[in-house]
Amino acid sequence: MEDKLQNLRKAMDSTTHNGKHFTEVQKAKIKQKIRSVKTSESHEPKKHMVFGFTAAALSILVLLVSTEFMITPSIKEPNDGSTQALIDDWEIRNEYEENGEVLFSVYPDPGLSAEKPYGYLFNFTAPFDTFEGKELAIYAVHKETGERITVLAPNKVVNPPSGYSSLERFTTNFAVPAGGIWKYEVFVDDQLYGNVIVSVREKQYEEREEAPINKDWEITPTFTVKTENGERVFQGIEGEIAFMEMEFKVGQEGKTRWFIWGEDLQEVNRENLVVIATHKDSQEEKVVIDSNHWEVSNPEYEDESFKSILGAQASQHAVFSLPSSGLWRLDAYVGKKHYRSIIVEVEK
Amino acid sequence: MDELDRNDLVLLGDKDLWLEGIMDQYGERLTKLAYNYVKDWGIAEDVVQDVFITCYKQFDEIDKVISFKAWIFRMTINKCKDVLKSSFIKKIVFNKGIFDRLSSSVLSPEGLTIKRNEEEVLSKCILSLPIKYREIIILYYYEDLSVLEISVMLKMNGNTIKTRLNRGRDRLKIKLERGRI
Repeated sequence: MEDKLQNLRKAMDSTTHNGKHFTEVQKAKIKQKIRSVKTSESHEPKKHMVFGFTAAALSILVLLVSTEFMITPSIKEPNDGSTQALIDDWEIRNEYEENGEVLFSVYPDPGLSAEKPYGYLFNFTAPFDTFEGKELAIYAVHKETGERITVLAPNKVVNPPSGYSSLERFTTNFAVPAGGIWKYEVFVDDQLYGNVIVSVREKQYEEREEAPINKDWEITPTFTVKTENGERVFQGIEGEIAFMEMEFKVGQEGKTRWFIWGEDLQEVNRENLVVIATHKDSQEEKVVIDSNHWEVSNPEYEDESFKSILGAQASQHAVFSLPSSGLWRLDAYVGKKHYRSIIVEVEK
Repeated sequence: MDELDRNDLVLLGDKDLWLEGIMDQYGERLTKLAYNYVKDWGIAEDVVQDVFITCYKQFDEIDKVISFKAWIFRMTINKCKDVLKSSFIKKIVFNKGIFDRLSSSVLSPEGLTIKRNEEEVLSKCILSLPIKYREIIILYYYEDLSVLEISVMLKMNGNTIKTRLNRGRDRLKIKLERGRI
């Protein structure tokens, strides 16, 4: 039989595996899929670009753009009026000036950060008839990626906010998808009215301060999962983050396996799993895990494939220890994202 | 394309050319490998498609991979296993008792007459082996990998592999003998 097996490839390729199975069509399909993924990731809302701009209008605007850093008026001397100035103008300013006159300024929320909607207060100085019956829209352009999004869809200005004669206090609420420098372009009836440059902080992940420092430091309960080979106990929050129950003794290394749920997670993630332990009394902090050893469905565990039982998207084996007794809070992160805290008690 | 070429392309950062290269080099092979697990050309195709898309996405990380071949094989195998695990088929058909009965009627080596091509009998018998034996036999004989290579690829103990190889051969022998009668 051994001799037959030695020729197994030939045997199979001429029978069950006969023919070509990876074709040019399949290749083309793969390439197409990659392209479609790429384009859907970088949605280019070109439709929002306003092309109705004549070069003349552009150059006039360019001459008039100023920043709050332009303290000396001499800088405002007309230059060549190339569009470059408008494009490369990324210095943060919350005012937009034309002819030395502030047309509007913006007051973003001081906590401004990515992905969360924040309130913006725009203060327009022009009289109401400048806007009346016209459509006001705001688009945001990300400096780093060039991504352009609509943050305020064109909206007809009918009345000034109550108590005001014009748009001195125009408020709106929106989120931008990434941190960094953003240019907010205000359009009135599809004409660029002006822009401001705002710095948006990176997404604020659940701050560690928000973890239960002032709360009860209640030990995170365990939960049990039935497998073919009996029950398995995990500590943590099922559906968010948990690890296989382990014994915590001072300085004693324990092996466990972490399970992390999250739609943005993959079996293998680019970013490391980082677990930071904080001691309740001393506030001592220690990075106990910082590893990219993402567990790919491991055949060794085929009989107890916890991952499929638990339904977690990602998992990692980890060996770690905690250096002193008492309550510790384990804060798990994948990249910058925080995945809940687990409170454990370490015995002496 | 040999390893050096690939690395050059990785260094050059030419993602598309690199993808083309690995598809040429591994496409057919991985599709067949996947078929050995999932026993369905359509699913095998999907698995391989997924593998190459993952490769493309992880292009920037590829230079950290020590053996690309082991890495891409392992990824393919794992994806196949995910499919087997998750699929409805597994829950119903791969349920042990039923599977054995099914395999003896559907793939029935007994029913195959002597006239049938011996090679075909062998291939079908292998495909009817339980996954854990089939996998090792395929990797060892079909893919021509050493026990050490398999153990790295599957993150499995070398002795486990040897045991499975032996048991797999025993089972295969029984199946073949029954088929010959």
